[in-house]
Order: sequence, then structure tokens, then C-alpha cells
Amino acid sequence: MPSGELIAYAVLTAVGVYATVNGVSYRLVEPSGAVGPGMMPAASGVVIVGLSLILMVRVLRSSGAGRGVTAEELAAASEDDVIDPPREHRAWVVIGLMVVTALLMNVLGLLPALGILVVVVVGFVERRSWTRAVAVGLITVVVLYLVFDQLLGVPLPTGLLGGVI
Amino acid sequence: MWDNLSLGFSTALTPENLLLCFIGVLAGTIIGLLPGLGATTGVAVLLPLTFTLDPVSALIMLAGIYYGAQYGGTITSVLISTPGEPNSIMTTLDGYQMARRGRAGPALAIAAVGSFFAAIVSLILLALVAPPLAQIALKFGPPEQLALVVLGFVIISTVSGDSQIKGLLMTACGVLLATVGIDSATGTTRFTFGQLDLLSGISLIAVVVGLFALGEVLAQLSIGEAKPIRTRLREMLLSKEDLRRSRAPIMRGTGVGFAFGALPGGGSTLASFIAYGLEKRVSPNRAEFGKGAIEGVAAPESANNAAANANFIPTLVLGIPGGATTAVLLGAFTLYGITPGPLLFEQQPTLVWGLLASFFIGNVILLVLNLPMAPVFAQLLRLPYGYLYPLILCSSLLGAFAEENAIFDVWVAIAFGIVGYFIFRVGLPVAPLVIGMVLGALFEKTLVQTSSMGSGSFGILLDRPIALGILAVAALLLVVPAVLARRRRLRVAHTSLVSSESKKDTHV
Amino acid sequence: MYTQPPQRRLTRCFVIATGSTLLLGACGASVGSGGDDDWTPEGRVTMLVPAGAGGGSDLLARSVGSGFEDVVSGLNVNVENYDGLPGYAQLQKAAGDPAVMLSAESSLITVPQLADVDFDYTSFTPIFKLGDDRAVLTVSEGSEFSSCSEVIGAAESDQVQVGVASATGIDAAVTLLTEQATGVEFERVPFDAGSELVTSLLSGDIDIALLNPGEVIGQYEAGKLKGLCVFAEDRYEYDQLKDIPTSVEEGIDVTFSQFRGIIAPADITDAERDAWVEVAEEFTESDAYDEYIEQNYLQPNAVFGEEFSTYLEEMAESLSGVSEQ
Repeated sequence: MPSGELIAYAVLTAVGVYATVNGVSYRLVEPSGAVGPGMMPAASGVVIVGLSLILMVRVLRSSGAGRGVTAEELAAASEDDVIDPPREHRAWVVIGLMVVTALLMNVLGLLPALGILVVVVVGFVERRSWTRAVAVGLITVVVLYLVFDQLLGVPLPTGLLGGVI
Repeated sequence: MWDNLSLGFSTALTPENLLLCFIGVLAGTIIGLLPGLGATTGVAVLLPLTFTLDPVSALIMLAGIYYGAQYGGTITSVLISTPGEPNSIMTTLDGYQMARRGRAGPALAIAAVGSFFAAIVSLILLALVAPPLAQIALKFGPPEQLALVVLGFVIISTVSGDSQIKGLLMTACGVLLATVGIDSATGTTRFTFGQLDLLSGISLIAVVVGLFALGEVLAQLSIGEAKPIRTRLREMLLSKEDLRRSRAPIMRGTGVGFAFGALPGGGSTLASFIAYGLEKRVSPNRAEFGKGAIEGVAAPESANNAAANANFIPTLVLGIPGGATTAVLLGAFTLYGITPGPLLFEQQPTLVWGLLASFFIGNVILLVLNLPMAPVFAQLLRLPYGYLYPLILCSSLLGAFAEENAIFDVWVAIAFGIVGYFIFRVGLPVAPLVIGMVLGALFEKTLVQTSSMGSGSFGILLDRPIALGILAVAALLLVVPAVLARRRRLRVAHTSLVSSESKKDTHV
Repeated sequence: MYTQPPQRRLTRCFVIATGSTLLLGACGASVGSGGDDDWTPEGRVTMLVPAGAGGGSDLLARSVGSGFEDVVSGLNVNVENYDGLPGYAQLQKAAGDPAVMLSAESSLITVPQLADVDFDYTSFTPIFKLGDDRAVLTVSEGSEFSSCSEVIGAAESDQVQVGVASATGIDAAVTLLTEQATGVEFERVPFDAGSELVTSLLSGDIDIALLNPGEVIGQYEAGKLKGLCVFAEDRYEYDQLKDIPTSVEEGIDVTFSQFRGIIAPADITDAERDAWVEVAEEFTESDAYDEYIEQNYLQPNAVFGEEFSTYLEEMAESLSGVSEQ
């Protein structure tokens, strides 16, 4: 299993190639001689490909396929004292929750969706008591509502319930 | 001169105007605090409320929002690594690190002190030399701006952490991201994949919020929860050492900020980037940058305030906006029936000098508000991270939405949160990505303009001494350190060779 | 004594709360929903702006919004900014809802012609045009040109550099139309906003620019910039501008100007549209309208409803030559 670094550089190389190819198709130079819309995409694409390849070669040379850094090593390297053992999957759970929240925004409304996010994170991911979770969620929603909707008049999507919130 | 000042202060010191000034700076601080809501939006939204007011009073309040936001943006940058304004992005680099070490109080305090100093100095300069400065600023056309951006790239290249190559790679990625959208010069759509929401490009705020705030939360979660930060009372206040170290950065930041802000279209964001990069180059403590060096907070914070005030130079003297928020303020002038332009100083002395005087007063109010509040704000970090980070998630997602009322931006923020997390795990530097986005956009714009002006060649640069001068400085900055480092290496190698030779002798 | 366990009680509360919310929501949903013949605007109305806060379209929206509020008591116009085209997408989503409007100008026509979007000006209901904003060919005080015909003459032999604020904007269109009408070619230098054009003219980086007088009246008054001709059939009536000859007088047969107006979503009933047109008509008779027109040096040639649709059609026609470039 190639290291995360290697994958990252491979992805970037692909991105760079894509950028360069498209950049050329967007015209590098205008008929008038001015720099065209494709110049910057192509130029940055070339730089990305070049540097990614160099870095990939470095990684391959230094430690075979490389191992990548594990969460434990990062924790050890961090200067703070950690009281929890590293639980990397927590990050993924939170990412998943944020995606779900964003999807819910158009259904339930932006603030309710955020409220649910808070409740689930505090209650489920962080394993605090559910009463606390709901309390924090409610307070957050109320404060955000007062500041953004009432004070600043930002139009927050209200989802399918519309018209009330 | 004194007549003008006394006219100004007598206008600004009425009870009504003082109250409006206070409301303005307070509102500005809150608006600057909230990620996604910028001073520009804040001023535009509160504009209709001012229709019933006298123009001077209205402008005093609106201007207060503008420079008040410069103070507010710092607070979330330092406490939760979420820039409240684009020009607070640089502050997150060291400010947040200081907060992690229990020094949020001094970080916020030095930001307030630096901002105040920069504001006062820039206002004095504004009052004294605005008209001639405006004329000089006019000489900065696209070729000069291109040169400045190149200089900016060179200065900023030190902010790439340990590896120049990785930094450059991230910068190039940022430049590429900035090309997404409709190219305003030719109408070509680039990398939009048919998405309407991408036609105006990727929102900078959504990216910044995603990378810095969400990415940081995800990173923290994956390496385990840090102990709540315990701070001792001593560490919550500014020490003499802090002040001593910050003196020079504040002055340099003010200079850089003022210079960049005075150019029409010159931004406080760019100024804060340059100030940070410059400070990192010249500071004796440069090794600490990125880990909590107070200079890394003092310099960009002073720069963004100086730039915000300097933005008023082209605005008031020429009627040309210095930036997005001053553009709104100029629009407000029109709505109040005042014609902005070169004759403003002559036609409306009460307005202009009253406004300038109110800036002094407003900044004093802000210092008084922010300095004692710094340790209080810092207490927020005592909250267990398990409660704190959901709040960060909320404010980030909401902030990303609020910038342009687009749920799409929420997705952008989440996407860049994931990107930021990967970047952290793989060990690539994050800041150059954002720098690339901002500088890259400017670079392309000025490049296209310069090449159009020169009918396809860059020979036009040879006719522009200012541009050439700036490029020469950039070249020197690039070459000189490399040459010096090489000479040092050679000398060290030589010395160690000599000493090992002599050691060998003694063993004989 | 049987007491319900806490969870059950909580669930019941939750159900009741949700139920009543939904009920209230269904009742209070949209304001002034269409259907009857006597519809009048009331309550909370949304004004969309396909541009950021503080720009020309935004300030127009706020001015018109507060003007409408003065005409209809109890009306509350809420301005929402969007980053360009997503604003139009919001308007599309609001089809059938008469409580939504959008502050429009010529991009409504030019953008669909130049970019790949799934709407054009016929996708919406035009309500009224406030007035026209004309383009004036502007040079700096030290310029070698003192008339538009001179500029055209120079462009025939030399390169004349014109600053253009945006490829989809009105000055790009007028530049192209002028080139087509006179057979010359200008050299374009691209910028992002009118204010940058002003700077570049003042510093001599470009030779000419097509600007709306409202943006530069201060410069004209100070003598730093001068207007050489206005692209219209008749001259301005405003004092400061009445000495500027028209393009037609100078031999350029281009009279294209930008409009500023309000449009509504598609699929609203005729009664609803007419109701808005009435409000607009009242607005144009108010002082607030006159003030806005004068402050921005617009032409007070308001048109409403059907007339506005025809105007838009004609504009799209004359611009169709532009998009084929």
C-alpha cells in the first residue's frame, strides 16, 4: 500500500496534467499578442506536474515505498499533551456528519441542520450526555439565529418547512 | 491645517456623532469577528439604516464599521484558527499557535496595540500628505502592479515551512484554483464543469474557512484531544519582552500596510501577506514563525489596519475606491447626494475632516474596548475541546454560506476541510495554497493587462522605471540570500576542513 | 401513580412541536400567494441582486426597495446578494412566486449570449425599467483627442487603447458595436471595474474608456477627465453634460445604452404583474425616483410591463451581432 504522500503526489500530477491540457485549449496567447486565458492554468499545471514528480521520486528513493505518517506518530510529534488516544476515525465521522448536514440544509433549513450537527457531535462522537448535547445545540441555534437572521438579515435557507424559521 | 483639524474634531465630537462612531466600531468588531461576513457586506447592509441621518454622521458610523472590522477579524483567527476577514489569514499562522500555548491573551493584545499604532500613524500621514500621495499612487499602473505582485511572491516564498519545493507546489495549486470561473478579460469559462455556482470562481472565504478552521478541527481530532489549555495569569497579559519584540514588526507592518493600501485597488489582504513575509525574512526570531512568534501577529495586524486607512487616500482625494469596502462608501456618498471626486476636499471640508477626526476617535474607542477584553476572550479557550469544536464547525459552515448566500460554498468549505486534513497528514504546508490563490489572481490580471498595453510584448516594462526598480529589488531578494548562504556554507566547510586538519596534526 | 418515563415524554413534546411547526409553516408559507385577481404586494418581499453588496446593482436594489416601501405601506423589501449568476438561478427557483424580484441591468442580455447558461431574458417577467445609463467616451484632460471623430481617425492608422471593464459588460458591447460601425479596431486592455478604468485614464495607461457619467461626474467637474461623446441619439439635459456631442453627431452610428430595471420570476399571474407595475408607476412619480435618477445621471425614460419586454427584445437583437464574435 503506497504511502499517503505518494498518493497525494500522484493525484497532484494528474491534476497538473489536466490543467496543462485544458490551459492549452483555452488559448495561451490572444491574437492581439496579449496573454491568453490558458496561460496561467497551463503554467501552474506544468509547475505542479514538475514538482510533484520530483517529490514523488524523493519519497520513493528515501524509504522504498514509504510508509507515511500514522496518527500515532503525529500525536507524538505534536507538542501538546494528548489525553485521548488518537482516534483517527473520529475525523472521518465528523466529515461524514458535515456532509449529511449540508444535505439536510435544503430539507430542514440551515439552522436546524446545524443544530442537529452539534447535538450529534457532542452526544454521539464526543460521548457527552444527551441533555448537554441538546442544550448546547439549542443555545447555538438560538444565538446564530439572533445574530445572523435577526441582526444581520442574512437569508438562511428554511428548507421544506419554510416560512416559519 | 489646524483650522481643518479643529473643524474636524468639532464636527466629530458631538454627542450624536460620538454615539454613532461607537455603534459603528462595535458593529464592525462583531462583523469582523464573524467568518464569512465581511466589512463590505456589513456596510452595505447597514447602509439603508443611515438614510435618515445627516451624511457626515452616517459616514462616521459606516467608516467605523470598516476599520472596526479590522480589529474584530483577529479574534477568531487567534482563538479558533478561523480568519474573520481575509486580511486576518496571516494572523492565524502564529496567532493560533500562540493560543495553543496559552498565550491567546498577549496575541490579541498585541494585535490591538499594533492595530492602534498603525491606525494613528496612517491617519496622521493621511491628514498631512494625502493629496500628493494620491498623485504618486496614480503612477502605479498595471506594469508597476505586476512588479509588486512579483515582489510579493518573492517575499512570501519564505512562508513555505521547511521545504521550498513543497511550498512552491502548494502555491501553484493555489494559482490554479484562482483560475476557476469566467475569465473577465475574454469571457472564457475555465474549469466550471457547467456549474453555475463556479462561474464567479471559488469563494476565498469558503476555502480559507475550510482549510484553516475545518482542517484544523479534523487534524486535532485525528491526533487525539489536546489537554485544555491552562494559562497562568502572568501569561494572559503582555510582557515587556512581548512589547520589545513587537516594536519593530509593528512599525514595519505599518509601513508596508500604508504603502500598499494607498494604491488604488491595493488591498489590506495583500498588505498583510507581504508584511508577514517581510517580517519573517528580517526578524532575528524567524525560526519561531509558524510556531507562535509574536512578531507574526504584530506585523500583519498592523499592516491590515494601516492599509484599511490608507485605502481612504484614493477614495477621498480622487474619488476612486481603494478597495471593495471603500467602493461601497463611495456609493454611499452618491446616495447622500455628495459627488465624490477630486473636488471633495474643497467642496466638503466639514465632511472630510469630520470623517478623519472620527477615525482617531474610533480607534481610541477600539483600543479601549479590545485591550482589556483580550484576556476575557482568551477564556473562551478554557471550554473543553469537545464542546468547542462543534461550535467551530457551525460557525465555519454558516460563515461559508453567509458570504454570498450560497449553499454551494458550504460544500466548498467541507471539501477544503478534507483537503486541509489530507495536506496536514501528508505534511504539505497549507498557507501557500491560500497565498497562491490571492497572489495568483492578481498576477494573472496584471500580466494580462501589461501584455495588452504592450501590444503583446513586455517591452513596455523597459519604459517604466518604477516597475523596473521594483523588479530589481525582487531579483536582489531572490539572489542575495542564496549567494550569502552559499558563501557561508563554503566558509563553514573550509573552517571545518582546516580544524580537522589541525586536529590530525596534533595526533601525530 | 403512573408517570411516563422521561424519554417518552420528551418524544411526545417533540412530536407536538414538530406537528404545530408544520401546520404553522403550511399556513404562513408564502406571502401574497397568487391566484386571485385582486392581488396586492404586502408584507415581506425579497429583492435579489446578482452582484455583491455595495455595487451599482446593489445600490439600485436598495434604493428601489426603499422607494417601493414608501409607496406600499407595510411592505418590507429584503435585499439578498448573490455572487453573480446564482442570483438569476434563485429567480428561476422562485417561479410563480410574486413576492420575489431581481435588480437587473444589461448583463441579463449579454451574459446568456456569451456564457453557457440555461436562462435568458425571456425566462422571467419584466416589470419595469427605471431608466437608461448611457456610455460616454472619456479621455483624460491631457489627452491628444478632443472629439470622437478624432479618436476614430486615430484608430484607423494607430493603435488606440481602450480600457474595458468586463468582457460581458456594456462597454465591451459598445466597443464592439463601434468597431463594427466604423470599421476600425481598438486595442483592448481588460480591467475588473469602472473605477480601475478611471485610474488608468488618469495615469495615462490607456487612451480612452467608455464610462457611465454617474461614476465619473466628479472627475468631469474637476476637469481631470472629459467626455468626448455620448452614445445616444440626443444629448443629455443635465447641465454638466449637455455640452457633450452625441456619437451620431460625430459620425458613429451607435446609440446603445445600459438599462437598470426590475424583473420578476416567470409564471406569475397577469394580475400580480400588473400590481407590481402599478407600484412601479407610483414609484416613478415620487421624489425618491427623481433623486435616484439625478444622482446617477440616468435618463428618466421609464417603461413598464409589455413595453419593457419589447425594449429587451430590441436590445437582444442589436446585441446578437456582438455574441457572434
